[in-house]
Amino acid sequence: MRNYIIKRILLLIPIIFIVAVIAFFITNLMPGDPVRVILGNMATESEVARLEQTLGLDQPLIVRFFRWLANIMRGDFGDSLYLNAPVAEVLIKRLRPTFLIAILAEILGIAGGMLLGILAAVKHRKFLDQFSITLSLFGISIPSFWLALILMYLFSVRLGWFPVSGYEPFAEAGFGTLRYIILPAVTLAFMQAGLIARMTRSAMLDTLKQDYIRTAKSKGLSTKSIVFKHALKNSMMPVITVIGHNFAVLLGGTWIVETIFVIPGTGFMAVNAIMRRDIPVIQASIIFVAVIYIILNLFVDLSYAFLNPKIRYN
Amino acid sequence: MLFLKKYNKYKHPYITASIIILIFLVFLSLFAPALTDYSPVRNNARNRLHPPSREHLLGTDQFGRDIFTRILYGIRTSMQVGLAVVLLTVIFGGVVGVAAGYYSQIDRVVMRILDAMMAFPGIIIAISLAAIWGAGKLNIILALSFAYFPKMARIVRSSVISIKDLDYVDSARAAGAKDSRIIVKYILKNSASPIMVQATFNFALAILDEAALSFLGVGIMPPAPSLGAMVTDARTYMVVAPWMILAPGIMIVLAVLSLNLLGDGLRDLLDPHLKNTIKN
Amino acid sequence: MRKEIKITSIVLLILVFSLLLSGSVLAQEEDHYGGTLNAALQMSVAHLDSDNSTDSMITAMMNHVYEGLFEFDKNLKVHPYLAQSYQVSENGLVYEVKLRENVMMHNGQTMNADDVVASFKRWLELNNGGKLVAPHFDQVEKIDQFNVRFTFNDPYAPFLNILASPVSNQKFVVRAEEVIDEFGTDVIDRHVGTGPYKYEEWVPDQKLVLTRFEDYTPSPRESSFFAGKRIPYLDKIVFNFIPDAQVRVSGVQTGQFHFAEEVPRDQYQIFEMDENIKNEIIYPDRMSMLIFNSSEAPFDNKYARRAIAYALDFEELGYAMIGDPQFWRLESALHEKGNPWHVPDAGEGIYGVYDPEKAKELLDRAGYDGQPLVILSGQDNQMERQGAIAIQDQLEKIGIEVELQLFDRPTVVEKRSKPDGWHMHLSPFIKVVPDPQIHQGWTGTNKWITNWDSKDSRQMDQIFAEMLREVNYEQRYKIVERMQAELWDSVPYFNILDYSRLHIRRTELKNFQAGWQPFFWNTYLK
Repeated sequence: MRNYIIKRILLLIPIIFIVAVIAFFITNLMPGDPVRVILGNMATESEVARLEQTLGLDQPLIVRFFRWLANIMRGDFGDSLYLNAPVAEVLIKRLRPTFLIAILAEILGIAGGMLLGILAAVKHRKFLDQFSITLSLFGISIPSFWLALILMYLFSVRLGWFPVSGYEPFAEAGFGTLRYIILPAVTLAFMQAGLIARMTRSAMLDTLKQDYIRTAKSKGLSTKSIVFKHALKNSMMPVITVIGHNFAVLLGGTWIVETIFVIPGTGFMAVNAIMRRDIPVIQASIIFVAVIYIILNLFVDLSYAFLNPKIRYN
Repeated sequence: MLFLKKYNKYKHPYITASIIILIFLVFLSLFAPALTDYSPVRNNARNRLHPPSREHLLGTDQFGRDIFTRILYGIRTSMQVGLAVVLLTVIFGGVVGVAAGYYSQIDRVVMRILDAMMAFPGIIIAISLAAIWGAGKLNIILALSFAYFPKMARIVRSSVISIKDLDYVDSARAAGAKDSRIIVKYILKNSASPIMVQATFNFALAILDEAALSFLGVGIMPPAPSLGAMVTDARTYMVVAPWMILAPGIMIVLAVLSLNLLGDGLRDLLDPHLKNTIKN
Repeated sequence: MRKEIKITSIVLLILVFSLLLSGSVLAQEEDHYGGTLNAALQMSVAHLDSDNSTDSMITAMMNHVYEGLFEFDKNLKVHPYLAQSYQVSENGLVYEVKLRENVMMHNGQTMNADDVVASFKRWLELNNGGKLVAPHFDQVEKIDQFNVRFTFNDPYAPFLNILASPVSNQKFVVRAEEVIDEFGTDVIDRHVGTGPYKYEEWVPDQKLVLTRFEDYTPSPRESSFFAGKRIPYLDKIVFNFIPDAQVRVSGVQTGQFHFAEEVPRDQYQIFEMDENIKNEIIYPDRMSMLIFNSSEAPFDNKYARRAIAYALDFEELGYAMIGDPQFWRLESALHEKGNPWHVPDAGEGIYGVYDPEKAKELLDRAGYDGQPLVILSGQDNQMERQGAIAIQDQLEKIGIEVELQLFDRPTVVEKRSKPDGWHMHLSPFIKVVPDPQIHQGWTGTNKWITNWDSKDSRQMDQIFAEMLREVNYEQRYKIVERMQAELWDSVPYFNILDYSRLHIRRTELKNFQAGWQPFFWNTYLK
């Protein structure tokens, strides 16, 4: 087991290096001139050249890459071109709203999805089953940006239940922060719930077919205890895998909902950065998303291997 | 294609339903020009923002263009992009997957790179590539294909690995059959199912992501119609002209839903085991 | 003795009476004090140092923190503001400015000539307005604590107007000498000014928070927009940066914001019906300019440029670009009616004349070979984006092939700075200019947008040079007329129409004046 863990962690190193390469080259191959945007339309050529030099943007690409790599290994992600602060600092400050939304979305998605999936499996082939299949399909078929706008229109503009936009951190609003993140979280939860419902349903169906379940039933155990005490535990593995693999998609989704609801999280920061070519921030954002995904998947895989020894010796 | 024999339109209602919807959408895409007199791009600004009426079934947008017409051409765009992305993903992913699965030296290098690529949500890769290459139909197709092919490659690779050491393949090899022949005759035939299932889901995803990219402004270049771009337009006028926002969204959901249904149905039909191993 | 007592007591009574009276008036005004204003602005800023960026939004917001030596009133007439009075020498080369003597700064000290001189030197070096002035300028010197002398090498007519200019970052504001010493030419992030509000907090991409400066010394003159008395009734002003228009709107509708700039014009009727919201249409505001790349075929030839002017249906463009005719109008002159520099018959015979046949004729004459014309425009600006789409449509309708290139701002800026790869570009110009010399297409280097370099451009240089030195208004006006005639003849760029943005505010915000930049002194919440 320990060897497996070590092996997996070592494998991460080349992957993260490649991730860094991809992040750097994607960012720096984008056309567009942040320098001229910062200086405005009436800048002279010499001013442009001067700022380029200050920012180190006049060096050849390879040189900049290695300099950047060396810096990030020391934890220095550079300074944002527009936010006048070190990127690492800005990123950390923006983490909380993003995580709040992602975690709330995940919780709602898991709760809703598992409930729906279990119901569907238990009432297999009856109306509830069909209904939940359809509902979960809808969940994964709705474009998140459209859903966000519809929810915003209904609940904020028309009903006024939630603020249309913006965000207040815990320090100022305490539990009031929830009001700002509910709609974004619900938007993302739709798709999560859909995916989780599907996986829960099919995993449960498979488990319920097993012999030991039939034995339990014939022994007279109630449906409720069969489901919750036995079947659920054994269906969890694929569900957990789905959750882990889709966290990256969830993070990608936060970019869109944060932009629409104007929440100052890492997603909004990244989208703004791309729109105005804030190169250090774009690079850091891309790496950030990738690293989270990789770590999460490592976790999922390790727990999988822990629970199912057969995998380890693959 | 054995599986077609298994297909029974009554026993597999999902596949049936989705095929019906898809045929409808394809029909709309192909015959768009015949179904409407209006041009999707010609302006008539004095006629702007009219609610649905007899002349304009879904009303007009801020340039006076007929929304119904733009929806039809928008579906056509979505279908085109989706199909192109699927073709490229299958070809590219297939080649890479087979190479990696069959030749283990290639596998080692390639899998690291693919793993790294799969660490990014597809939409983020697509946004970044679209920012680099610029907007436009061709660029989005390339960007999305680039974002999706690693997963396809992985699926093909798994399939190849599980087959290549089977007995009957071994004996073929022992009998002197060339690698290429083995690949085509046995491996591809057996990978067909998971490839088809994944391709269907990729089609759905491509439509969603193209809409998202166009919504963000890095997708299809105006004035070409795109369902996602229509949602963006609708957003500005949401309060004055709320009808503008429903139609494009509903069409996107319809297309994506039917494709997901089809993918599900195919997976049930072809290989029920796939369900618990492959994510969506 | 008795007489004196009588007189004294009468005087005392009068004094007490007037004190009571003014007390009640003051009490009424005191009611207005209080509250926090939340304003929703469209774009966030990179920093708050106007000298170091051409973003006019920085000046607009920091107008509450810093004040100018001179300021504009409602009619765009310039007045001394932090200056008490001034005198110009006969030959126009020397300005002697007397400063107001008791103006308190945010650091508790009184503003004096040292602050003005230090700020001016920095402005001259860094600020775009300063760079316009610098080539003609000799030196600034402190005469004594409250007197400053500005000496020029040649007469420079626009000087005072530029000092108060709302365009870009041009305005000259007075900062504390200690801050200038501390930061030099680096971006200032500690703010000590004379304004009614102090800097409190800035969260990039989110908000700027200002609080009332309790020891503020208002100007004694009557209020008129930026000139005259400013009273800070509001305790706090928060500028929120909300890029999405719909979100700004909803914020005002739900009461989250008291003011939102630039909201969708098409929702005007909805706001009219809402009893909590008031529409504010600002005129003059913007102009939509079609800019040609004059260094590349076909637009290196003026007949091709004139052709486009005839090829476009300006009125239809108005509907497509802006929409409701309440928000746009056709106006051929660069200065609006009522402005002292307005030229009534500018562009006669070509402005707004829709004649596609003539357009094709002119294109032939210019030797246009039918190559597709590239329109370059920004995604982020509604006028640019919709205008480009509409122009492409109009030109293609008459057989001219057009390629539309819509990009995000950094890419647009990069591509436009190149001498090739684009033919046309739409740009919003500010119609509110302090001086005909501050012609947005001309200030700085005249080739920055058009790459215009020909006999015609040199003739225009000449006209501007004359305009620069002519201090007499009537004479200068004649030169402005010549400039307009020249511009409409060679059209290196031309204005399609004037348009207004729509701002909205809640009815709780009282005494709001719709100026060219939003300002919140003299306003109060009820």
